[in-house]
Amino acid sequence: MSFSISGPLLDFCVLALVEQEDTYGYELTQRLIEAIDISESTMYPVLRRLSKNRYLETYDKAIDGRNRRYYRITPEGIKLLKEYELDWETFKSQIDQITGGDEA
Amino acid sequence: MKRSEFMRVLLKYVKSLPKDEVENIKSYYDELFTEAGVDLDDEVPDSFGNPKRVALEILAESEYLDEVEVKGERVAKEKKTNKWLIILLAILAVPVGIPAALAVLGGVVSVVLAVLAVIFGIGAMVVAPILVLIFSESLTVPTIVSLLGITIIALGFILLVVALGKWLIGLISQWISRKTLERKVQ
Repeated sequence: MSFSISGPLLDFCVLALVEQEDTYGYELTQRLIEAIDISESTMYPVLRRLSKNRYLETYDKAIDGRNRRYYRITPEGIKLLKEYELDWETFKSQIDQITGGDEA
Repeated sequence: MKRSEFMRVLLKYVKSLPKDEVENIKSYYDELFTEAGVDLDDEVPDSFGNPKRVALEILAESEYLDEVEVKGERVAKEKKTNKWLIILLAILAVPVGIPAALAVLGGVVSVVLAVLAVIFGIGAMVVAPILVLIFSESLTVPTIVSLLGITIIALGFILLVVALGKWLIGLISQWISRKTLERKVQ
């Protein structure tokens, strides 16, 4: 994959995944790696930013005697996700317009 | 690189962050390694990247967040004090402010009335003799001369008032421009 995914685009992907169901760091990373080219350890800053801005909230669950931190989307997070969805549609059609991707 | 070495390097580079933040980073990556089945003495797969690079990414992100936070807080605080200060001043100013405002209003009204009275008076001085000259049936030469005299005196008054007004306006505009200049310099 030659396109790098970072910043708002990565936030968009994370919000979309967490909205489907609550998830934890490792699972989220694995699901992203399936589709896009990111390093396994780069999710922490993204999750921290989204939590700090209250788009995500965390809760802890005991699994096999240790802790697993889950992430859940907040109402603000859902709002941001809807904005990203609209922005993405616009962005996609703009790129298609330039590259002729919508003619096919 | 072993997991313990990875964690050592990662934590070394983020130690300038607040304690609870460092704790968060430690528990996040510990959880990640455990879930991935990487034990403390196991080699970290290449897909986890370089711990120094990871630390720098975290630092860059947290610096950005703190800056925004500090700025947002400061701006919000200033706005709040300003608002409350203005409200407080307005409340304190009411007992003094209303009589003062009435006094100023009274002063302005009286000046306007005075100016109107002067204009009306001078106008009457010009018009009245002319009316007398037109409508009076028995006019002697001395009467005509004195009536014309009154009109000419009134015209003189008008010239005087215009000159005085010009001088006053010049004085006021000079004062205003000096004040604005001072404010600009400050």
